[in-house]
Amino acid sequence: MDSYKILIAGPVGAGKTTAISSVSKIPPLTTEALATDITREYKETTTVAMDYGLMTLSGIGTLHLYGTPGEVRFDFMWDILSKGGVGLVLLIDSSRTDPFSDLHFFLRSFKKFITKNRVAIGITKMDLCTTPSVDEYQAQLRNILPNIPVFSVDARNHIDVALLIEALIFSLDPKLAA
Amino acid sequence: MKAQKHNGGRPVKKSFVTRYVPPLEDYDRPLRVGLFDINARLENILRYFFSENCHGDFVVNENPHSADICLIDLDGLHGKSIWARHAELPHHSPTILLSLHETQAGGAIWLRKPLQAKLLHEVLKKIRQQLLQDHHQHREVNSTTLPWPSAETAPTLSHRQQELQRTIKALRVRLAREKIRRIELRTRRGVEQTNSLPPADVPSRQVSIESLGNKVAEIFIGTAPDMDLHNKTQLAQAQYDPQHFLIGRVLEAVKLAETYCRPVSISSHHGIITFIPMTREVLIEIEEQQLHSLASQPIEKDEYLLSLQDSVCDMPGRTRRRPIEAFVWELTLWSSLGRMPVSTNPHQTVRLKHWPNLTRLQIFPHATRITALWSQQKHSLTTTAQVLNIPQRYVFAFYSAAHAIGLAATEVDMDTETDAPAPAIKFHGKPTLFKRILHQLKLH
Repeated sequence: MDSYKILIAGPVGAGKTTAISSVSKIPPLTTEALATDITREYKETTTVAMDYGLMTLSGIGTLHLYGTPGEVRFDFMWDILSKGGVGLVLLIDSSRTDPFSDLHFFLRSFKKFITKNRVAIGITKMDLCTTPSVDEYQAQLRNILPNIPVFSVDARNHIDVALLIEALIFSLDPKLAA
Repeated sequence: MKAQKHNGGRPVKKSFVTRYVPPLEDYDRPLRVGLFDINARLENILRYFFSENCHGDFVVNENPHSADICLIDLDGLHGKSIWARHAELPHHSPTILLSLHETQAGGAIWLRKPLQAKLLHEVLKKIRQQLLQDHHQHREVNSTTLPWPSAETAPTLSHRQQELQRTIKALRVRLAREKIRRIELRTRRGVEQTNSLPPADVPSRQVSIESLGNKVAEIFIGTAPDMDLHNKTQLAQAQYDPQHFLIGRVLEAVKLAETYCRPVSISSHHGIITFIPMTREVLIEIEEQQLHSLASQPIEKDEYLLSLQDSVCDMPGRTRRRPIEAFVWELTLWSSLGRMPVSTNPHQTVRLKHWPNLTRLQIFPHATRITALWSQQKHSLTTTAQVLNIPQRYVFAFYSAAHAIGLAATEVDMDTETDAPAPAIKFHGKPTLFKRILHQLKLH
C-alpha cells in the first residue's frame, strides 16, 4: 500500500475544511481562527495555516490530505504545503462574484505544481448558484488544461469528495488498482 | 410543539469526541439510535462517542427504522424527505435533526452542525428520561409488563434484592458494551468476513465508492462474460440497438427539443416524459421502478409518441425532475446492460470529449479509471478492458452511457461526423490557388 500527499486549495469559503472533514477517517487537524477582515462576511472562522486529514482508498493506499488557507495573505503556506504533493484538488465556489477569475487565479498560483502533477477541480455551492455550469468550466479549461476531471461537488457529501479525489488519483495512473 | 434550539453560539472545533467526557450514569439498557442520511465519518464518530464517552448508554441501531431515537441529517441528500415521511407517522420516535441552518420542526429537536458533544449528550439524556417516564406510566397502566428496575421502586426492596438488582444492571451494561465492542471490531475487520455474528448486525452503509458501485453494478451492467470480439456471433451478443429500446426514443426527443428549443414529450400508456431544453431538465411521470423495467425491454412500434409542446405542466408529487444528462446516462445503462451500441467498432480508438460530471451521474465500478485512461491515452474498447484488467462489460457500459450524452465516440464515428456536412465540390482542370487552399483545409 502506497501513500500520497494531496493538496486541497481554493478561495475562502469554497469548502476545503469541510471537504477534508467529509472524507477523513481521523478527526481532522485544523487551524481555524476567528476571521477579522473581509472573510467575516463569508464565515466566522478561517483556516490560517493548514488542515490535515487522512483517507484510505481501497486497493490504492493512504492519502494525506492537506488543505491550504484560502486567504491570499497566507499564500506563503501554499508553497510550503505543495512540497511532496502528487496532486491538487482545486475547489471553486460557484456562488462567488467571479468564479472564473478565481479559477484562473488559482491555476496561475499553482502553475508550477500543476505542470509536474495532476489537478482535479470541484465546483462547490452549485445548489446556491447553478451558473456557470460544469460544461462552461470545461470550456474555460479546454485550451489551458484539457481532459482534467471537473465535477460539481457538495463538500459536505462524502461520496462527492471521495469521487473527486479518486478521479485525481486515477489521473495519476489509471492502472493503480489493477 | 416548536423545536428546541441548541445552537450553543460558536461552532465547535473538530475534536468532537475527545474534548467532552459526559458523567458516568448507570442505566438498564442502551437506547437504540437510528441514523438517517448520516455520512460514514459522522457515523463512526457517533459509534465511538456512544460506546466510549456515553458508557454504552446509547448504541447505533443497525435497522434505523426500529430505533428508540432517530437522528436525521437534514442537510444530507435525502434528509428532508426522510424527516417529512417520519413526521407523518402517528407515533414516531423522538427525533433529533442535525442541520447547519435553524430549523423549526414540530416534535423534533434541532441541533446545529457542527455537532457539540455536550449538547448532544444533554438532548439524548432528556429523551432517555422522557422515554423512562413514558415507560413507567405505561407500566402503571399495564401490570403485566415486565418490571423495569428504577430508583423509585428501590426503597421498597430488601437489601438482598437491591444488591441482586445492581448486579443484574451491571451485567446488562457489560453485555451491551461487549456487543458494541464486537460490532466495532467486526466493522474494522471488514463486513465481508464471515463470523459468528448474525447478519442483522452488519452495518448497512459502506464507505467506499467502489463498494457503493458494486451494489448497483450487477443490476445495471449484468454479468455477461468477456467475448471474442473478432467472432461475429459473439460481437453481436456484445451489442444492442438503442433504436429498439426506450433510450432510442429518448435520444430522438432530446435532439428534437434542442433543435426546436421547445419542450418535447414522449407519451405512452405508461405515462409521460417531457424534455425541457431551456433548463436541461426532464419531467418524469412514470414510477422509477416501472421506468427501469421499461428501459430494459425492447419497445413495440408506435408504443411511444413524440410531440412538441408549447408549455410544460409540472405537477408536484406526480412528476419528478431530473437533469437530462443524468437521466439519459442512467437509462442507457439500464438498456445496454453491459453492451455497446450496435454500430460501434470495438477495435477503433475511443475519443473522449471531456470528463463526465461523475458526481451527478450513476456511478459504477471502474468508471473513474476508464475515464482517466481515455483522457490520457488512445485506446479501443477491447484494449481498455485489457489494459485495466477489467471485464469488458464495464467498458461497454461506460462507453454506451458516455456516447449517449455525447461525450465519447470512436474515431470512425468522428470522421463520419466531420465528413458528413462537407460540401461536395468538384474541380476541373489545373489546380487553382482556391483548390490548393481547400486541399490544405482538407475540404477536398
